[in-house]
Amino acid sequence: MAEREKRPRPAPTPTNITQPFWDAVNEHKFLLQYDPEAEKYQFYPRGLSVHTGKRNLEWREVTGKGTVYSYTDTVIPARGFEGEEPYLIAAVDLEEGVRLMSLLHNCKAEEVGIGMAVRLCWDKIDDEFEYFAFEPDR
Amino acid sequence: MINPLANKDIAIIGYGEVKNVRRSGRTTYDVAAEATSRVLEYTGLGTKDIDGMATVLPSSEAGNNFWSNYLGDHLGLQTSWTQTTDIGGASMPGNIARAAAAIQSGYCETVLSIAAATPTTRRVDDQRSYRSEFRNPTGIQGPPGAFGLIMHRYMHQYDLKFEALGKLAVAQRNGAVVNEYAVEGLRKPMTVDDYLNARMVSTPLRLLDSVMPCDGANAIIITTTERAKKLGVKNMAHPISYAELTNFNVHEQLPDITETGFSIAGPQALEKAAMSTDDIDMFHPYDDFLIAEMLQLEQIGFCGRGEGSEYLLSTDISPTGKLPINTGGGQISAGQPGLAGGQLNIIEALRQLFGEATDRQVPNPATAMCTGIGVIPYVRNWGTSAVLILEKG
Repeated sequence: MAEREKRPRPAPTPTNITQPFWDAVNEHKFLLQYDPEAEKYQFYPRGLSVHTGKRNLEWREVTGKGTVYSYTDTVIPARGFEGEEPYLIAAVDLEEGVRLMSLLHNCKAEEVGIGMAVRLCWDKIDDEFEYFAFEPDR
Repeated sequence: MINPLANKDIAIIGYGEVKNVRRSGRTTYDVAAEATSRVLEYTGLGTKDIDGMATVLPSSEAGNNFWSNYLGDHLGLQTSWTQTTDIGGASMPGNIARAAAAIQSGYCETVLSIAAATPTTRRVDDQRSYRSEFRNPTGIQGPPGAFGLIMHRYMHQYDLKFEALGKLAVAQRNGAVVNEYAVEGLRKPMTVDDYLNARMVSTPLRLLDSVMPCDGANAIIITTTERAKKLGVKNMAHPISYAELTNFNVHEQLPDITETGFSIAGPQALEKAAMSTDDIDMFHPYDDFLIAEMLQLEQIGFCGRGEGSEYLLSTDISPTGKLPINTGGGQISAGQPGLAGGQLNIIEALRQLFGEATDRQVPNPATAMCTGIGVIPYVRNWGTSAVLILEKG
């Protein structure tokens, strides 16, 4: 197969809902929306609580610790990841009870397993933007 | 349980299909026109006999927020009921239920349900929300990556035998070989070893687990059984039950991603029809990936949870078998014409019920179950699950 041309990694465009989240990520903090009435978190960020339908959400900083719920080793790269394959993507359950998905760094495909302890880490997308990722919590 | 389709007063009286082609260079309107012309020819109707139209919003026209207006205008249809449905691959089975409700309510009498998409020629869709912020920047390989996650989790909880998925791939390929509407490049026989040795896309999902995108279109005509009889149509099939569920488990933040809305919509559709899975003569499930078909078999109730591999290995799924599955190749082997693929397997079910499936004909089928799947949410299983049961008229 011909070499794939490397395109820029897609960067999120913050919205009025997600701006506080991305501002925090760029300071290496991870915020989740919390519904104080339902006493539950939710992810991804939304305009209301899926638990109660109320716009009563608070941003709370979380531990960033979790476990691998599932994973996949990406062999054919997505747009903006050409030349980086193979790379691992993990679905991770945070201690706060939400599930996230992102790249799993510092881990070989033969090392990853469901239930493995991981923690959040950070990726530079470009000079402007950082993104969240995971690494083994050894 | 209320079933507005129970008395069989609604009939599907014909189908029209365009050959699946990659990068056809054609417009969505042109393939829609060909499918429409074919179904009109099949039924002997003209454009002025149609007073309702239902369609799906395809990625090739998603920038047009007047899509159904433009499409109906292009096709020469003056309609008193007009509907675009945008629940992805569930839109077209969904449109049969929506059209039936519109006909029963008196808004129209004869509906063209038309699916057309040319995503390998033009894509203009732009999905925001979780997709642009939380999916695309992660590097996950779109739907194959999402199903890679689902498959690894399934393997953690249950026993997944890849030979079973391979058997399903081969059975569908055998259908595509004799289906003149299938993408030409896929009309070559394959073996279970070909499946097992196929290139990985996003582990453990292989290239041959997946659909081949293409351009295409298909259409059906839905009317009252009374009008169908007056018209003296040569064939009809009744939609006798339908169930649909969107955003299954949306409140749960840690859902079991092997579980889908079919665990509710499947049993509901059967209960509405007062049927069990033994009453289903053929299964024509929406097939974006092979594992999706196995999850449907389990959750609709053809076999128990986690028993999909054993069920597939022990069941004859060929046209002459106990449960024929996607006899025309399905989207995986005939090609996926974007969201028009959501009606592909319904067309095959009709062809079978009408006894027009030639080399792959199921012997005298009386019933068929068709399904639809829509959208992949953020780290969850698919968003919409739709189940339609058809009965020969």
